[in-house]
Amino acid sequence: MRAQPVKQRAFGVLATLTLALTFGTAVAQEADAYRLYVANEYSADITVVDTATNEVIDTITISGRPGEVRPRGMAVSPDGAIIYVSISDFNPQIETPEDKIVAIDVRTNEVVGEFRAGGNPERVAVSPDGTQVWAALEAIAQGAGYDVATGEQLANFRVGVEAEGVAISPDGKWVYITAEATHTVTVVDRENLEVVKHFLVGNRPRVVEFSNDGTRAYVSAEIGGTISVVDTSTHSVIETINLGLDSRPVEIAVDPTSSRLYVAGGGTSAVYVIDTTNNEIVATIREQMGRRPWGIAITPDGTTVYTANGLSDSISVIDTECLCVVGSIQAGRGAHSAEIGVIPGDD
Amino acid sequence: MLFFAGTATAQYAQRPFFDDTLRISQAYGFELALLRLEVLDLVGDDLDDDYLEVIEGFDADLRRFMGSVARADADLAEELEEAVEEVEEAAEDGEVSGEAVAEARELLQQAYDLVVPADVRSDPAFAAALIVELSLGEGGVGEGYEEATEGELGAYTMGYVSLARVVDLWDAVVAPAADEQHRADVEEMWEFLDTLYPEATIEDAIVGNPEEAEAPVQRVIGLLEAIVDAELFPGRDLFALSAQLPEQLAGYCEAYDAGDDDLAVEGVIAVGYLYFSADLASFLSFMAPEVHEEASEQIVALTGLEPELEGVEEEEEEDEDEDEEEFVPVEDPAAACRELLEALQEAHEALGG
Repeated sequence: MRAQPVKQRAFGVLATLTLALTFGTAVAQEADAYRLYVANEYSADITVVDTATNEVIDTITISGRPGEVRPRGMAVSPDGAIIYVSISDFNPQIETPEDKIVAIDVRTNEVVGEFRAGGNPERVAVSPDGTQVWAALEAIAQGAGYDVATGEQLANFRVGVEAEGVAISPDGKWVYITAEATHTVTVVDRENLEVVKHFLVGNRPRVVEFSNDGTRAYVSAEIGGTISVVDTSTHSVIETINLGLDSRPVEIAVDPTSSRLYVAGGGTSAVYVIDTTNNEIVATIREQMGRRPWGIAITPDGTTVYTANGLSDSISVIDTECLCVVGSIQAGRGAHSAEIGVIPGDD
Repeated sequence: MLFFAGTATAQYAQRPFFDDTLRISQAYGFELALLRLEVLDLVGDDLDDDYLEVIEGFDADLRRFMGSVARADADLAEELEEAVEEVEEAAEDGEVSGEAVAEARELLQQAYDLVVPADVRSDPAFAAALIVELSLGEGGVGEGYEEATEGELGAYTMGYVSLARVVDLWDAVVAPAADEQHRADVEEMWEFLDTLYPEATIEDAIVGNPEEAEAPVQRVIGLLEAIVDAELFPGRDLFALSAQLPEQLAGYCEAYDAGDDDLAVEGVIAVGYLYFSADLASFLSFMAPEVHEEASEQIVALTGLEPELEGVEEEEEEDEDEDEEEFVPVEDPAAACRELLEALQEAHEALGG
């Protein structure tokens, strides 16, 4: 990875990329035209997998100081050209230059922008139009939004203690931010840049994901062993799905039709498959699963699910037809989160 | 002000933190005090400020159980207090004697047997709850490693001896109740934790993830829950916790009214510690800060407990000298207890109760 360019140039590049979204969407129509990105917390790199062949095609170095600097949450721009990676050191007490979100152009693996994010940014989300990035800042209990084109921070809000997960609704209206220690979700109105509500979910909420129509949000609770189902019209929990107290759910992948959720169960080395029409578990995938699946992502065509397995440093490949593990791919050390994006067109 | 959310219906059969709150708190105090003596054994006279901080913890440990010891055996209580004081003073002077440590240990053990009988401690769910405290609580395995990354060398050694103790508790009490797979899974985590604590003392801060020890500890606790069929995360259901705390506290407030301050303060410590350690404090500090402020103020006044809430920035730096001040109980503890009770009842109402 080359030295990062100065910010002004970097954000000029990002602005151009944002304008190219239409092209990116066209690329998304092609079958198997996806890239899987897995952030490896301890080897401080990103494993890039071609989902057509399930082969590792690249490893993006995030830092030359693995064990001191770590990538965690990621988001992929709608055109697939940029991945946004939350980077921090291991010391949440001290704000350092390592605490930031970097924008990496996956065509060149160059850092093309960075967003200062004090307080250990843990996870990051990109708005559906690709113009904003939002982050959960773990150590300082804040959620913050950034303008992709200028790199400026648009707003920051106090959220619950140990902010963790962040997601933006498909219509772009709401930002949901989870907080582990207070067991809460904070809702930000993105247009008016104001907090509209905090609400309680299960114990130690990790990740939040929206259904594709935006009517529901799903929040995993690691200690609670639950998924809270949220009605986004009222920002209220309407149902709690029990996965088992030892399930330790972390990341959630929503199937493209929103009819199923795939939940990475870190504690039991399992993936829970939930039918969203009745919120029942329809399958628990354990056989041949890697150990401690933490991250999970589904291809936009809904055929394949990937899990990032933190204890076995691997990626499990799950066929959504048979709901079984059909392969395993080597990841870096401490595979943490998984994201899928379309293959970007040429610059 | 209601924050009610649908809660999990799944439950384990036992709830030691709710059903045996006081005795777990007392046992935790005994265990910590014994571990501090262990640290002294390991470090000897070579005590710098880091290790003196470990020794200063005796005060808080003893407050968890001394009232009960005194009621059961006033002579033993007096001897124990003198023995611990002697060890503390010797440590401060850099002249720790093995004999004094051994005597304090012997007396502590006698008192432990008196207050928390062996048959209680041999219950797997009770032992598992103690493992939780010694793993995730103050002076425990997770905290020891975390503080070692901040250069707290004494905390590291405390974490080291805590790890040895939780493995002992596992071997002696819980492992016999585990099936083969659970045993293998737990032991794998112990092996991993051993790699984080390879030796009793370190000379420099650890470089790495401060939460490295917490993840396997959390994994162990999840396994222990299944093995002993007991709820070991008391804050898993904040609503249930918020109902439990005022219910328990009411009895201790009555004890204050009856002049039984020794019992009352031990109870308030047990309740107050749960309030802070099981995330109710974090939740309220965010969602109902005025309720939290009142509750925490009264807990501190009654017990001297003052845990930091992670992720909440302090408004101003604490005066270092303040830490060294001896705890002085509030003048009218019965009134303070009633105020705390009201705050905890409000907390429960805030959660939909």
